[in-house]
Amino acid sequence: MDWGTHAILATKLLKSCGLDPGAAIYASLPIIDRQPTHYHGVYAHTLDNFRDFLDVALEVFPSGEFTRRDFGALHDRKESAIQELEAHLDILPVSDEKGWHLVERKIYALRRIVEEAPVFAHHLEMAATLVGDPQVGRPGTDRLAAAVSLLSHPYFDVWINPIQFFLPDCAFASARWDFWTAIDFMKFRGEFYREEHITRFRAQIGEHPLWNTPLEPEPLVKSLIIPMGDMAAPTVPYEAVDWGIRRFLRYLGIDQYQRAIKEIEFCHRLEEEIDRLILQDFPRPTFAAPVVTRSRRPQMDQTVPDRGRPAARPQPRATGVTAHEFVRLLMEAGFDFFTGVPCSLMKGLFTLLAEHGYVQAAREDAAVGMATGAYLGGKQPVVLMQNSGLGQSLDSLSSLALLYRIPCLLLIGWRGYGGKDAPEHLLTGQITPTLLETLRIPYQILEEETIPQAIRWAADRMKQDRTPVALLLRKGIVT
Amino acid sequence: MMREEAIQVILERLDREIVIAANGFISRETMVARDRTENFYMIGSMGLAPSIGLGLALSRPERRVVVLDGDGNLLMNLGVLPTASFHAPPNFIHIVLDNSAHGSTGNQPTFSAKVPLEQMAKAAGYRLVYRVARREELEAVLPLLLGGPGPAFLLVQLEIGDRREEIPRVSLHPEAIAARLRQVAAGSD
Repeated sequence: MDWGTHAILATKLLKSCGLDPGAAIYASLPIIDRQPTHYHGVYAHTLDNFRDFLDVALEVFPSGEFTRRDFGALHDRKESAIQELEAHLDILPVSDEKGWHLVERKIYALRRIVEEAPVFAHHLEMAATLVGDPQVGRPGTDRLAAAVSLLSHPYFDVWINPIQFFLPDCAFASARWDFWTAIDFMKFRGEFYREEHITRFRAQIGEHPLWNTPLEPEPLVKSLIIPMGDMAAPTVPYEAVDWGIRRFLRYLGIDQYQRAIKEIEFCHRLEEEIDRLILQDFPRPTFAAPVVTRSRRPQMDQTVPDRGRPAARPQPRATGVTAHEFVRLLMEAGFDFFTGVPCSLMKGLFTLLAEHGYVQAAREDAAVGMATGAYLGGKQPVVLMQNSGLGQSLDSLSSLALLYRIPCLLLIGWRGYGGKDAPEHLLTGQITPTLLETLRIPYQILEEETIPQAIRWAADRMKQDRTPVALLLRKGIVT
Repeated sequence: MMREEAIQVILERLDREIVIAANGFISRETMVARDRTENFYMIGSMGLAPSIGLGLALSRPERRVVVLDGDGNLLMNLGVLPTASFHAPPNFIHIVLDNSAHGSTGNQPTFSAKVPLEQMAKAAGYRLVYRVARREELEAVLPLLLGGPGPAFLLVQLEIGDRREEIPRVSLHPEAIAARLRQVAAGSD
């Protein structure tokens, strides 16, 4: 985002936390990344470097020289500070790479922040006018507030640019990749900052009632970092995210574990809202291409399972179909016995199926057993489970349902899809399609647009081949 | 009494009841005792016989379903006890042939020598729970078990042993086992 939008969003975040809106200026800090141009976006958009940038900025912005806009005096002060640091470098042993790195980083921060001081001063005045709050024009001195403000910059930048936020622990770039495939990206990049667009965007997001949510600053710090890991492609290993959070919280003097459920939820809704606003102005042009479903593809070999995903990435947070609609489609396709173990990705289904004689099992393999019994009793069964239960069911599938050729539908909630989930789901999520392929169970991944076709495919295929079939259900497909 | 004798006694008393026989010697001896269209020999998926029985009993409320389970089998799927009593199909009869050993794999001891499994069924909430050890007791209790409202549980305490080499493996193809049972149970395909 541009500095004005950053200032508005940072102010909103600070106010939601009850922090000094004067800290909004710290959201402008990463503009120092203009030099050197060939590393644009690398130095001051990186969590690990934030500590030095904050240290220096917290000295510079509230200083008398800056307040008086005496940039000459500020320059002199910077030069003497740098001389001191360089003198320190002289006595550092060459082998102390870490020490060198830390001092050089500090020098870089000092040099660039003071060089850009006139720009920061300009931003400060403009931001106060833009936000309509004179307090925004008075640089805050609270480290936590400055941290929240600075963190908000890369967090809101991911809509525009990929950011290697977790350097040097991990080089993967965070961005709203999925979202970019859903919008007209080139038009968005070309026109988003045009006056009429950006003004409307700022107004729409700024006036959103979401900002009335009271937030705690410490957990907010965490909840601004976590999505940066989730949004990266490939996904940033959780360890790198965790180190980043711990190091940064320790720097802020926060030792306790921060429970950030409310703040993460807030960020999630904020992201959805920003997505929605941008999507509304820059929808992807639709082409009149027919929707091709895999069920219409000729089957080359009945024993080869249907392959996984088509090439296109899913649209983020698809609105999905309702549980009602989904159950109706299942029943229309002839399914009349429902058993399984609950999964959060389809909680609506479980609630609804309870009215249709859903038979809860204690474990997923037992559910496969019950589905087998139900088929023997003339039913057309569905087993609902989370993919974690697929592993649990291996023997029941291989030595019962597959061996006795029992047609049944495994409706599997795909936790850990795309590497974005709690750690216990990541490996299982990664190997879920492979597991089904290994078991030679035909499967499809449910896409919002082709749910009816997929359910019909499942019903036809399982009866035709007398085999269990599976439908993988990602988050947001059924609401 | 050994398992084979108990199975013979039980099968003699059955009429149109569907039987789900657990894997290993239970299936093999059941087939030798009396092969019926209504018998389902579960040759793999150890532990799941009562789950299959439950699915059937719930789908076909008009048919009685008798599960011939083993102690090793039940210990692998204890969750089925509360599942059965929660859904409580009255046509579900769960018989555990308990020799306190993994009979098919060389009689390694199971926990049931010290842990009374019928007490677990009782605690889980089965409507009828019996434990017998002698043939006369078994003969006496079967009418009660088959006549009463389920879910019903019977533990038959057995001695270890079988006619190992003389009892053949289940010779029917699994697909055929499923197909013929489905024909009588569901009356379709």
